[in-house]
Amino acid sequence: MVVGVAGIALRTASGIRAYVGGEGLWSKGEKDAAYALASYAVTGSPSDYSQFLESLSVPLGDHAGRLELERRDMRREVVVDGLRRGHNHPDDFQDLIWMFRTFRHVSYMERAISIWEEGDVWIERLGAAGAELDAEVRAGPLLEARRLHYLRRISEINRHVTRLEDEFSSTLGEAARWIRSTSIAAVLALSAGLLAVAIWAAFGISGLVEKSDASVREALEREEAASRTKSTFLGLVSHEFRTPLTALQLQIERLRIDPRSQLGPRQAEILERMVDSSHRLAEMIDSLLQYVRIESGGLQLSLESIDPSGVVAETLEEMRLLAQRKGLVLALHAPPELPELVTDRSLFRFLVTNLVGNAIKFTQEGSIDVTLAHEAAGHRILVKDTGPGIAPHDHERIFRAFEQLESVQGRQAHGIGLGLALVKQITDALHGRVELASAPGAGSAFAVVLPPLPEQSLMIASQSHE
Amino acid sequence: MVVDDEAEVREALKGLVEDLGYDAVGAENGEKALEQLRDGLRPELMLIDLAMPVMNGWELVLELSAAPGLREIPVAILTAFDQSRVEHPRPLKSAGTLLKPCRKTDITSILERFCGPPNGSAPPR
Repeated sequence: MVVGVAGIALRTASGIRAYVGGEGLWSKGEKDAAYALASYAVTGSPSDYSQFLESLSVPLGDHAGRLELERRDMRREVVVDGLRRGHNHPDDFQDLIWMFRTFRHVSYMERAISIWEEGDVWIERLGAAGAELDAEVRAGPLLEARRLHYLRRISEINRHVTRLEDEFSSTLGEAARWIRSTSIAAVLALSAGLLAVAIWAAFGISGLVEKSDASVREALEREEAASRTKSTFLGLVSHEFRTPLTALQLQIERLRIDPRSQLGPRQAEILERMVDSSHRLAEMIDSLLQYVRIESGGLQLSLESIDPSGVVAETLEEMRLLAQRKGLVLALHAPPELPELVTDRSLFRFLVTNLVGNAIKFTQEGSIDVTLAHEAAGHRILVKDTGPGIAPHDHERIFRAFEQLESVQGRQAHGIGLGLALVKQITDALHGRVELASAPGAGSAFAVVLPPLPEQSLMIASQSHE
Repeated sequence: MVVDDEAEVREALKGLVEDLGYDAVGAENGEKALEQLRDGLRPELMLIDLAMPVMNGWELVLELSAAPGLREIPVAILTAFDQSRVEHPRPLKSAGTLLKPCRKTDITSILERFCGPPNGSAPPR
């Protein structure tokens, strides 16, 4: 009796392990297929397509096996053939078949099978996308828009399948744990001798259920983020703007540098105004694209240890001309022993440029003081101006995307109102916070506080939830 | 050689390079670029856009890398997509990346590094 219970427990444990192994191979096949198809969309190389077909044959083989297993008059050779194409180990065939046929209607197995069915639907869609892509590639080279269309489809399918793989794994894990507790209860009730064997078998399974396959997932997620950025209206429009803007800037440059153009002082002046306007346009398009990219979760941080005083000083040098033109004093105050800061260098520079740029834009006379400090919470970058100040009821609004603050004199503010929204987005991504102290007539003091970050070479920022 | 499917960018860049004192030719996609190279043209530098019909930048760089006479030509990638969004191709001889809209100083520094000083001021390479 005891041997019987332990025997079944062992066999079930072995069966679950076989399914865990099989699922791992299924999932590897799907990931390899998705990756190969994405490569095919980019390279158009037939070898990528053959790799895709080869990898896809794994989940397709399992699918054929499952269909036969469902039949009342199941033909063993057909099941075995499918399982073999699914790369399952021949020694596992027996257990895989036994588990399926015996426990098909037991809750955990039933759930696992239905997840498997759903997965097969997505595999079918992947196969269909592959066939369509192949037909298009053979008909002629792929347009950028079509490439992005396929990459998006592949990412979507992969996303759904990944979710199902996780559900399948956790279902098997629960099944293993259920068997463990049931087996232990049964064996305890019957005999202490075989307890060790049953526990050993059951524990052996739970460990296998954890799995991860991060690398391909990440690659596809990056493609997904790239195509999603362009697929929003804003992203598409602002991306298209770059072409005529590039041409415009190049042609203006040609006029400026060519000695033969014989520009009079008036024309030279007009040309400089054109340069300024085209730079402003470029900045607006950049901030729009940056905003859209961060919103769709595509921000990647590249962390390094920087000298904050040095980087801020460099950034301020670039803005000095702008301040001087308005007769403003730009000053940096930094203690000599300021510790290094681990952050993304270009994002950090962006924060400084944005806050100081805003201060210059909105201040008509006086000074802009940038103060660096290090406190318990992290590094503090303070930008204080002698401008008109901001009324408390506007303090929250101005950090929202596309919100503008008209200056006190009633002049229309420049730009599209994304600067502070980006400052907030990026500060959030760096796990910091933004502070504002300001009142009408008292100037404004914007501060960014950045906490110490673990030093890794790359970190994907989580999507901000507004 | 400037390889870009957008005529306004290609012509503007070609014009600027010529005004800076260098000779320049244009090609509207990878295939047209290869045709000129197979005819014997050997530019000192190629500026290659990524998103083009017929043959795009990734494919062109692959073709160049595979051809013995062509793989030593320095290639600068010219694109609006930066690396965090789309993987750039890696030419065997890389001259860097120009992100559109590109600054004149970026262009002049690449030209000086790979094509030497402008025509008329030094013996040709």
